[in-house]
Amino acid sequence: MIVSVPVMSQDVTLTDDPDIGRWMSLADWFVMKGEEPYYDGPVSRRVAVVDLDHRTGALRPGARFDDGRPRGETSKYVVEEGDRDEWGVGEIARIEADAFLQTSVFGTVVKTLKMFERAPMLGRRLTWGFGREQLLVVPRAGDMANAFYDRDTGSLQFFSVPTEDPDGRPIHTALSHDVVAHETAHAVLDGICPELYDAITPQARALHETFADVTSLLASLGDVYRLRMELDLEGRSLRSSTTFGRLAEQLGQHLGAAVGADALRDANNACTLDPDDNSHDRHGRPNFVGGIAAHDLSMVMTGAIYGVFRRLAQAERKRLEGGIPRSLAKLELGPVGLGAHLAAQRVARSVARARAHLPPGETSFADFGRAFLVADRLDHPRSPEPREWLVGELLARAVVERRDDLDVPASWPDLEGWDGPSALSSSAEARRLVSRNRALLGIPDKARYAVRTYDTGRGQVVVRVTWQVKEDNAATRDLAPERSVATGTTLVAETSTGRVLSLLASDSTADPRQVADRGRMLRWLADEDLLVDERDAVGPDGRPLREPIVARAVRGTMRLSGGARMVHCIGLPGLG
Amino acid sequence: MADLVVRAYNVGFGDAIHVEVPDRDRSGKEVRRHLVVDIGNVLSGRGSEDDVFLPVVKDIAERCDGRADLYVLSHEHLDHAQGLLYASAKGVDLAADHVWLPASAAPDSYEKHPAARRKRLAVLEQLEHIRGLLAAAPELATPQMRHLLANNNASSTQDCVEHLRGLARRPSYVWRGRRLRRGMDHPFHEARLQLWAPEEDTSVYYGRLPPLAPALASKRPPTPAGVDGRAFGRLVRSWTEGVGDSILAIDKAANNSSVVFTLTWRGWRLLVPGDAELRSWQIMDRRKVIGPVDFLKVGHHGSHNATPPDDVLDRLLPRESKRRRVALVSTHEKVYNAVPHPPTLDRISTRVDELLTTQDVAPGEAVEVRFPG
Repeated sequence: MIVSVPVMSQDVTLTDDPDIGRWMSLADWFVMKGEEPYYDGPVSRRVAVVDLDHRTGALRPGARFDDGRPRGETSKYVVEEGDRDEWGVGEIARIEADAFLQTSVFGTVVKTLKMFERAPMLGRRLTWGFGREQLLVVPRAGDMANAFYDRDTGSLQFFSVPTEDPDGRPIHTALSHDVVAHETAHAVLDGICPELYDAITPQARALHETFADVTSLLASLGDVYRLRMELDLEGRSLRSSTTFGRLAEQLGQHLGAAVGADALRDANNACTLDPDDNSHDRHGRPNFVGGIAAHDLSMVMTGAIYGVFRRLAQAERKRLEGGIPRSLAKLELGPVGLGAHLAAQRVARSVARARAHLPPGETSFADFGRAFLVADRLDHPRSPEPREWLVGELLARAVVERRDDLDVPASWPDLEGWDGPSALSSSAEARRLVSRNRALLGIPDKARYAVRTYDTGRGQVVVRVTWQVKEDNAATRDLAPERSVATGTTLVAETSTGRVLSLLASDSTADPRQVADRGRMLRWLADEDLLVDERDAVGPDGRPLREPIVARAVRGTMRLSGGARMVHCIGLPGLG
Repeated sequence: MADLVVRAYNVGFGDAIHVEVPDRDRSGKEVRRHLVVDIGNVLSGRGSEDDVFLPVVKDIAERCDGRADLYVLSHEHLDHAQGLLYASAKGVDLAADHVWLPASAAPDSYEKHPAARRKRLAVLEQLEHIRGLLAAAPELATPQMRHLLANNNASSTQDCVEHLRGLARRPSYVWRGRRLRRGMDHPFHEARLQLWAPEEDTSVYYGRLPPLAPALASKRPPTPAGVDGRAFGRLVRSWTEGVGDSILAIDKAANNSSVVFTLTWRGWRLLVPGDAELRSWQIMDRRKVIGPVDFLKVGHHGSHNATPPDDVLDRLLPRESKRRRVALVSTHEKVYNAVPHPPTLDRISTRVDELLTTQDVAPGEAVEVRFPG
């Protein structure tokens, strides 16, 4: 069944941009299929909008589903039409209406999910990380500048920011394409790399943010309609910060005075981990990121990936200036737009596919860098330039000290005991194979490990082997003298032959900087009462506290549970 | 030579600090100035007896002829604010020439700081939600919840703040960086006062409040068609489960808005940080205001989250210093879990010559510390 859903295609503030002009629509139709059954809400098999009123607890009526098929029409969700001028030009929907808010957030979530599932990206149907089929979406969960994915309730919750506008209209984060795509990406990533959700290493948390930001950014750039409307196709440079590099404009502008920026986060940045870097961005903020806040730290990696995208877009543009192939001419984009579109597709794909190669547990930016290089090499073996650019970015931003820190072997040894696709047909078979290849996988002697496998749908199988290592817990010794940290190896192999396509182990537990940063993170969490001993995890009402991570000491070793609720869309300076 | 004397009264779980400071008047004549910081205690349960305020206020009033030179309210929690109003209602009064209130108590504060206003309104709304949830689920109204709700009761606090506002002709609303003018804000010719906190815009102290919907505690909406019933039920329940987290976050924001100030007199430096918690300490650290002190009134009755981490504590109370140093904790056992926090008190005691506690004297009596001039 094909269903049309009206969605917000652009943040409201962009229509005030004189470069873009006021002729750009805020809303557009998104056409989806394969998510039946559909109900009012909107509600579908995998995504359900529940518009709960946080003040009264009442459920607002959902947008009506019109199954137009009996009349020979396309099925759609019904929204009130927007105002039109005498030429019939105007918005397809009244943006202020409840139904549009509901359909827009629904459509954007599904659109983002579909983007990941398409063949150029992951090429398979995704499942959520919380063990149920349906993701709940709450478009108006309360009043604050925030939005989050919550694994515990299997939900995305969006909040609204009251403004000082004379008409008193709040800013709904659920209407921001970038914010919704970002949060959906968190939910998607949780289904692909669930260990990352519970990570405490600041760089691992930041990777969750980078993935979500890059998704939202590259989703815009992959959107041909949006490219056509926004990129003026002639001579617009991606070197200067365009609307594409700036995430969540409207929300950022509202909060801008406080944070000193006109958009929430700017992917076109020079953020670095180099403490000797004294440069500043155009808002006067230092480029050196010395803190552990996930949102701030993520800008280093997001900036690196955007740098690769930008250079690739320029290279594609140069190539296309020599002539646009007929297969691409139908997109009706000039060399600039097409270059951006193609570059976005490649980078987004490599970012998405890198997830499969990422080691489990507490990972680092360098781990992700290696995973990206492997993923990109598998898809583009004869086009190494973007990989070289990424290495250059990560070196320039002090993510690694030396080029060879990012080296990945050209090939790996064969797996022992591989006897065909059945070798990974069940969890028992997978454990047997892992046991036979223990040395290859770097599993320490006597370590107890967990094995998780899945098929990528592209003739590849992913095997994730996770074990715990102990670290000194100096920063939070009052909780336990040691802490237990997850690490491991990810193996990706061809399903039919068992040929090892990648085998990456994390460096996070061996890297002194990551160890120190974990300590800093834990100390900060403890100081903010967001990390509590299990004996203190009961609130004054006698119930378990929901917000903090709970630390449990088992024979002198601290184990943590919960806390990923902290991975939020919006991080303000000064807050963790 | 006259001594500077700090008296911390045992008022149960609360604060009542009196500092006698040798000073001079305009003509150069020696006088003794009287600074009072907070009088209040927890509102119910152990350590909450209000009658203790009467001998305390009487004692202070006798020492300063019924009129303090400066009264400081560290923050708008009843357990710091209610003592003078209570005593006044019983006919025991204390006036003051100067009164300091936190900047957030200024009538125009929220007009000047819309972000703080929004946060404040969110807190007030959340408090209503909490009360709604407790009404629907009375088993959640534990003694600790009742303490915290009472302490953060906006209308009761307002009554106490109004009383304090009326003590002096013109109260001073204070924040870090505000210029303090002799004659207008304080009387001291010799002693120097410095404000370390709060920030003028107190929105920086507010954390996140989880969504709460009290209406859902009594009536759950039916599961919409096509929605996973168990998931919907779990989501709905989650909106009634953040009561403990919420009240702690609200309480913390008020604590973090504490006035934190130093008084420096003849080489001695005293620090009175109210109930400032770690976020406030982090901001003070970023603002580079923290320096060595000789007297520390231990924050928040000795809880673990109101004494800064070791790297900051080392700057506050340097281990290698040869000066005499004293810390004092005004507290009462078994009111809140792990307050006072023994490891925190141990961390402090290794850095001072004496760690005193109001629990060592009878209710209404005071622990005394003297600093020679």
